[in-house]
Amino acid sequence: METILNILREINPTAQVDETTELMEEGVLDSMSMVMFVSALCNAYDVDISLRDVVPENFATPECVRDFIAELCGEEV
Amino acid sequence: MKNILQMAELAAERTPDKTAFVDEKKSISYLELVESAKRIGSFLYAQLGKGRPVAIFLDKSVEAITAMLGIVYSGNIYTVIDIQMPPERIKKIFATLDPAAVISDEKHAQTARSLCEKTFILNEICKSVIDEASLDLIRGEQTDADPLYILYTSGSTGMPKGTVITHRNVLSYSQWFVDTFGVDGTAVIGNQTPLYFSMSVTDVYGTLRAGAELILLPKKCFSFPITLADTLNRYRVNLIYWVPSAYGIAANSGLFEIEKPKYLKKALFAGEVMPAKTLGYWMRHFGEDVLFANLFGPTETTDICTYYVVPRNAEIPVSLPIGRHCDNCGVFILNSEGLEAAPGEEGELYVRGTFVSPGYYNDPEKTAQFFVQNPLRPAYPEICYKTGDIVRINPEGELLYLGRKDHQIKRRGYRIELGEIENVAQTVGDVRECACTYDAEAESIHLFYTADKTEEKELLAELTKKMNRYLLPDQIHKLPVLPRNANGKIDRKNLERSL
Repeated sequence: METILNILREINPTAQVDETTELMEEGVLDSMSMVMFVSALCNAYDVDISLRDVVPENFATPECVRDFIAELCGEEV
Repeated sequence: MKNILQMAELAAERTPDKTAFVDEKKSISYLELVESAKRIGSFLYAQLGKGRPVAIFLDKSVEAITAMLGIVYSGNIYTVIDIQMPPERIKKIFATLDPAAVISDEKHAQTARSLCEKTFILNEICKSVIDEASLDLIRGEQTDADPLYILYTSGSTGMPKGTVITHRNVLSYSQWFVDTFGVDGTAVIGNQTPLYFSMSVTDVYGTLRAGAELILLPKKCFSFPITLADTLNRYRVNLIYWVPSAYGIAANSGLFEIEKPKYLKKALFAGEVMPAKTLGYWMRHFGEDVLFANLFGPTETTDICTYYVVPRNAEIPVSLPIGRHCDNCGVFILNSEGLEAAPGEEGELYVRGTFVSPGYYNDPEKTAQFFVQNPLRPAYPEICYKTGDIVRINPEGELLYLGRKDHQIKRRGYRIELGEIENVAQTVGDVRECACTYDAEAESIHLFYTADKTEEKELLAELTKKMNRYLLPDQIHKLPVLPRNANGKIDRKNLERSL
């Protein structure tokens, strides 16, 4: 979880983020930084994220992102 | 017609039950729209009288559009405020605007009240009784030269400028739009731009003019490409008018390999230079069936003054022309001596005709600076708008956009358009976006860009091959993401400050 939060803080240094922050609603991510975020996650967890999985359900909050990555890796992250 | 409300009323008469506007939560028919707007208008007129600005402090929504028309029914002038704008900046705007009231909702009421004591909650006022007699009186006394809205843009000094747009401006402009692109009642338009941005004027009034349907796409759609395609398909959107960055979302993610907007027929864009790679991607996937057009213009000419329909089955030029003037709108180019530019010679673009705003609200100084007597027609008064855009005409007779007058620099004796460097850099490797700034003191050009793979050295090597030496940037900076302003455009001032 810390990795995910750190990536988000790096992308948007001024945003306040915790596990349950609504990433879209609160403006932590926008259409441009979303691209960055996905690519940073791919590198950090050595996974491929398909465009089909870049949907609101998987990216609503850092918790959602964690669950999604865990499923992708087949282990807890 | 003399009033934009007549477009809505005509549509409500012809197709009362047809859906006019749709957002995430609700949709409204033409009849309901006119009814609600009349209720709001009757209330506002009773409270405020007429002829004053009223600010709208709402999310992009069906409600916000109803509020716009309601303010117009009351004989007042609307201004849409960006709810995410820092309060300090809103206060600056309110200092020159002096709004009679603000219309907001429960969600934003607290902020709205801190900005203006007289704040009305839309849900409460849209239940008021319609006062037809007063509405008729207001309409009877109005002319098409009366202001419809005031739209604030950031001035170069950081002081916001409020462009006044009249009924006549929008009536004339929207007529050009529907005639040129064959927009009629079958159109379903997918709106991307915010209501405080001039491109939304085309979406909203193009819709009313044609009796069409406008889908206000939620902002988050543009972060999730598949969701975007799903939404466009769910509503059967067949016309879009977006900024090029929004087109880039599909191109950069490879969306169309997975899902395509099936109903799309017309794809228009404006607001920034369209990267050749982005347009190429869209045209490869839709070339035969979809009309693509590059629209160009400032807020001060309602939205657009020139346009270029991209030819099908032809190679796309690296720098897309901005084409020719719109119908009922005139353009000309003056060179640095103030004379009409010869074919091929570059100069500043001027606009005349009924799309041109009468000037800035409460700002005679700035108005006099940018809205000037036509120097080519000294025998009678004609006010034109000086755009500050540098253009020239190509051998085909089409206008080419070279850059902003204030982005034009002179270095070591060479006059350089920073936009020219950007156009070339855009085509290198997997460069997604780029922007140039100039540090006059150090005489150095900085190029900022984003890309997955292309490194600074590679980019410089390619630029050396593709452009004149005097154009080469002195420093190249690869960034994870380029900063953007509230309209979604690249924020160059922010980049300058970052150096």
